Parts: sequence; structure tokens; C-alpha cells
Amino acid sequence: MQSQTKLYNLFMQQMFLVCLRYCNNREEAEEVLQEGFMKVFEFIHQFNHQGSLEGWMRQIMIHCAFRKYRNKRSLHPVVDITTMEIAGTAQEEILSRLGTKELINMIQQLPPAYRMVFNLFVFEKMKHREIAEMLGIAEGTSKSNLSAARYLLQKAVAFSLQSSKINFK
Amino acid sequence: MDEQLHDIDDLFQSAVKRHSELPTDNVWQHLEKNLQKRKVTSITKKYKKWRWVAAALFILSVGLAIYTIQLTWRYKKEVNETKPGIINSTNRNNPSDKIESSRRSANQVTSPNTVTGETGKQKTLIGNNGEDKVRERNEGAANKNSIMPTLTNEGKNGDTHPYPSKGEDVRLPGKNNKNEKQQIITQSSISHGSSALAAKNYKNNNLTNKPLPYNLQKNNDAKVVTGNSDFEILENNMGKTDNKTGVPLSTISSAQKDLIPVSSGKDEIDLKLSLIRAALQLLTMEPSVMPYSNITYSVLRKSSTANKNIRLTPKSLHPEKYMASIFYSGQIVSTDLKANRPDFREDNYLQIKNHEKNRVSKIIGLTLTRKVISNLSIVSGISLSTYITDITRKPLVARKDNSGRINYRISTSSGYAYYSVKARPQPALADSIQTLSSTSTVKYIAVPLGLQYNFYLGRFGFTPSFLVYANFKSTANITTIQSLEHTYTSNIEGLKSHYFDGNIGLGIDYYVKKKIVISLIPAARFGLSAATEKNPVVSQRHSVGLMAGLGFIF
Repeated sequence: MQSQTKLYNLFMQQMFLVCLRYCNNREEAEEVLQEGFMKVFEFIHQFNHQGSLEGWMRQIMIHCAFRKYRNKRSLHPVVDITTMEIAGTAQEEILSRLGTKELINMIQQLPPAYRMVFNLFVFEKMKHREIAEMLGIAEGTSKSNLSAARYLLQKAVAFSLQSSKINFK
Repeated sequence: MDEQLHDIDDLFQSAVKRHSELPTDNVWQHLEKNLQKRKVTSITKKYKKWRWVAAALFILSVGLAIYTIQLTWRYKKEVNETKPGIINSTNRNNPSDKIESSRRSANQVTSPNTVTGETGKQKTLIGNNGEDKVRERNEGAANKNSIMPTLTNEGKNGDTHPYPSKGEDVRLPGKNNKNEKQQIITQSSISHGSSALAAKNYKNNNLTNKPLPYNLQKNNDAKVVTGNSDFEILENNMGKTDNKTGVPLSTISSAQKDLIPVSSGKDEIDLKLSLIRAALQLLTMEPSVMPYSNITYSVLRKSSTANKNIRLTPKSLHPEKYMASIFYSGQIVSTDLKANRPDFREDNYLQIKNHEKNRVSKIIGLTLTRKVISNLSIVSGISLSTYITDITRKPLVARKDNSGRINYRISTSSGYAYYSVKARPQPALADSIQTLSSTSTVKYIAVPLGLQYNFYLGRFGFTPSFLVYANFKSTANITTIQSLEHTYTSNIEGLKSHYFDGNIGLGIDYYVKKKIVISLIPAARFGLSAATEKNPVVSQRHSVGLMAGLGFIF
């Protein structure tokens, strides 16, 4: 139990961040984190030391998040945004004005399918073919989902900069 | 536009890198609980397979203990009956040794001319007249421990004396004690197997209240006729019977008179004692080797049958009226599922089947068997069956329950139930949650009724049977584990209050004692009717298993 506590304390922050990106809200992220760590403790003996432990754990968290996403894939997104464009604002300025938490909230607010593709492409550096295989969708769908996700986030950032909230659903 | 999009990627990558957020402590608390539970479960699983071995060993040990106690009681009783006049040998605790000893002795005396003496010397009597000679063959020091019990001969008038107590020295001066040649024998080295059995056999032949011949006196003091005067009595009584009782005064026929060797001194005493012992041994002889008089033959025949009384007659063991058995059984269960009324997509019977795994069910109960005709019995009783089904991780979808409220619904082969998850807000229709695992437990009180055929082979009885069980639902519940809480409900719908199943078994009974039976019954149960109704799936239970029981005949 001591080693499990140490492992949890060592990686909970990074893993929670992964879960936050893939989930709808904080509560759901905690659920995924819990399930993920249960898997980690259960299958730790299968870790073959070929890659980093963090990478292996991240894969488990993504897999748990994906299972959750799969249960909700029937829920279709209802996007309701106004057409806006980000003015030529510098990245640093946006970050300082919006804050990282708000930006992560924007990712969380994306429809599940878009969020999955965006996360896998941008953060996990997966190719569209791999994403399509993993999610069981066509490669073209993956591309269009990514494009739509980027577009929505762009609008969201622009909207936030104008001190407005946006709701995609 | 593309440039802007890529800027978006970088923007969010930077944001995620800079962001730090910790989960609440609840996550670790739940993790800790789940880990402890899993640890307990794994220990339970580890020892689960040993339950069967433990149950079988327990039943076997109980049976063995009963058998041992019964054997001890029987032997004590036997010892008490044969106590008067008997000094047991060093193997006094083993009744089978007595029988074996007497048989060996009897075989040694199959030839009327050969008598094996107890003094370690085999004496061969040649001829029937005055030309008799006694040839002694020294059998060596190894046979010294089988010396015939004797006693101190203190007079010439035929006085008899009790056997000495254990450890007491016995002097055998005999007739020629003037030579001060005394043979000292310790009782621990005395072998009395044949004489003890002879006394017992005599009693077994309903002669208990009659005077025992020679050294088998009725009173507690064993007496052996020794000395010349005693030997004369022996000779005189040969072939005679008591006028009052009709009991033979000697079990040695007159034919044996011819076997009396002509000798004197210590050898003579030894020979006389050997002869007496041989006469007693004859009591345990088989009739087929009995060359003597009719009276002796009759006594011997009775005594030989008396030996058989030690064993219980198998036929008398088998139940005449009722037999009550308590039993425990483990059953490997399989559930046959058929689609019935799948209202929702999660009600697909294949999905339900793939997520479920039956545990070994436990049945404990009592059966009552009543013989109706020669080999046919009617069987009934009562039993408690527990069926536990593990349900793997599966999504629960929010549906409207019977009262119109929207709750998460779980469908199983043993009915369906609705949950309200406290850790979550009231779900909307078709919302779903993921369960980590679920367990469905159903208990039935069952009443069997059927027929059993009985046939026996010695102590074993074989009982093929066919029973019909009427199962009445006792309790039912489903426990579900979500990531944040455990949910329990006993409000199961779609489960019948009763159903029927059949049972075919082949019982193997071992009669430990006249009224105690150990049973092992390999059996197969098959559903005659469905256990569910108005459920997304129709389920019928089938099982095979082994039943172990302990029966009492009354």
C-alpha cells in the first residue's frame, strides 16, 4: 500500500491534467483518474520498462477516458456560436488575460468527438490514421473533427477575450 | 487561417504545460477502499477452492471418528464379557489379534497327533498307545515369549488357583519341586489369545450361566487344572456331560485320551498344560477340520459362528424406515438465456450474457428418505440454495421506472433494478454511467420430491434418484460498484417468486454404523421452468455438482 501511495502522489498531478483534457468536467476527470490508477495498480507487473512509466500511465488514462467517451458517442454536439475571429493578439497576452484554467475549460467544453480528436492530435501527436483506427471512424472524419475543434476553440478564445462566455451545447 | 489554427494548437499546449491542478483527496480515499476490497477478494478467491477439500475432509474425519468410537465401544463390551477367567496377552488391545491367534493355533492342531506347546517347544505325539514318545524340538529363544499361562501348583489334591496379577511372578515347581527347579515366568510374557477366545466363544453359545469346562470357570478367578489329580479329572470327564445342565464337562473328546503322553516331572506338566491348551484351542477350530466327537463338533460350530458375530451383518445396516440426511453441495451453474422483451438497446441478451459470470452456488439442506417398497424410496426435504452472479463493468442507462422517475437501470439474467446515484445529479433520460462491477445474489428455499432406487453392496449403498425441486424465492439483491459509491437494491423486478427444476443424481452411501451413513451424490440439475418473467431475457438455470451428506437412520 505504501508503494501505491507513493506512485499516486508522484504522478497524480500529471495524470489528472490528462484526465481534465479528455473529460467534460472536474468530477468526471476524477472518476477517470481513479479508474486509471486502479488499472495501473492492477497491471503494474505488465509494465516492461521499454518506455517511460509516465508514458505508460498516460496511455492507461487516455484509454479510460476513451472508454467513457465511447459510452457517450451517441450524444451529438449542438454547437451554438457566433461568428467571431481572434484579433491579432499575442499568445502570451491571451494566456495572461484568460489563464490556463479557462483555456482547459474550453477544451472540456468541446463536444466529446471533437475533444478526443483534438487531444489525440495536438497533445498525443497521433496521426489521423491512428486516431481513426482508435476511435473507429474514418480518417476524413478525424480531420474534419480536428478542424471543427480548432475552429470552435478559436471562436471561444476570441469570445472570452471579449469577456463573454460561450456554450457549445 | 491555417496559421491561426496552428497558433491555437500552440496556445493550448502552452496553457496545458503551465497549468497545474490537483485532484481532491476523495480520489485517493476511494482508491484505497477499492484496493483493500480487492485484496480481501483475492484472499477469498485463493482459499475458495480449499472449501471443498475442507468440507470433504470434515465429513470423512467425522465418519472415521464415529467408526473408531463404535469399534472401541464394541471392543470394550467384548472385553467386559470375556473378562472372567481371562488374562489378556500383551496384545490385549487388539481384538483382531485374538481371532488371528486362535485361528493360527487351530491350524496348528489340525493334525490330531501334533500339538504345539506354549513353552517354545513343539511336541509331536507319535502313536496312540504306550509306545508314545515325545519328541521335543527346541524352537529357540525367540519363542520364549509365548509361554502358556500357568500357576503355582501348591498341592497334589487338584486345588486350582487364580491367575496372578499383571507383573507378578509365577512359579512352576510342578510335581518335582523337590528338585527346586522352578520356572519363573512373568505375566507380561504370557500369551492367552486362544484361551480368552475360547471363554468368549463359550459364552457366545448361550452357556454363560452354565459351568465352564476346566479353566473357563464362571467366576472371575480363572482356574487351570494342573498336577496329576487335575489331569485325572480331565481324563475322567472326557466325553461326559453334566447331568443337570447337559453341558459337556470337557470339550475334549474321549479320543484325545489316547493322545496323553506318558511322561513325568516337568515335561509331564508341560505336556498336560499343552494338552489343555490344545483342547481350548479346539473350541475355535473350523468344523471342517474337527475330527472329534459330536458334542465337541457342535460346540465348535457354534463358536466358529460366534466369531463372525464380531462383524456387523451388512444387510442389517440398510434403512428399514426413515433416513434423514444433512447435506452441503456446490454446483457449477450455467444460465440459459433467451431474448424475451428487449425494450432498450442495453437489454440485448447477448450483452447481458457476456457481462455475467456465475459463481459456484451453495446448497445446504436436509432430506428425508422413506422406503416405500423393497428397493424404492420416496425422498423429500428442504434446502437453501444461493446463486451469485458477478457482472463485469457495464454501462447503466437512465430509464423511467414504474413510478415515472428517471433512474439508472441495470438488466441482469436475474431481473432488473433501478438505481439513484447520490453522487450524481438527477439523470436525464438516456444518460449513462459506467459501473466497475456488480453482483446479483438470489436465494431460494427449495422443497424436493422424488423417487430413489436403492441397492447395496456390503457396506455401500447406491441410490440413483430423480427429484423435482420447487424453488421459492427467499431474497434477491443487486449490488453495484460505481467509481464513487456502492449501490445496493433488493427491489428486483422480473424475477419469478418460484420456479421448478429437476435433479438426477447417483448417490453413493457408506454405512459407517448401523444408523449412520456418509453420502456422496454427484448430481445434475436442470431448469424445468424459467426463473424470470417480464424480464428482458428468459433465464433457466442448469447446474452440475457434488453433494456430500451425513445421514441418520431411525
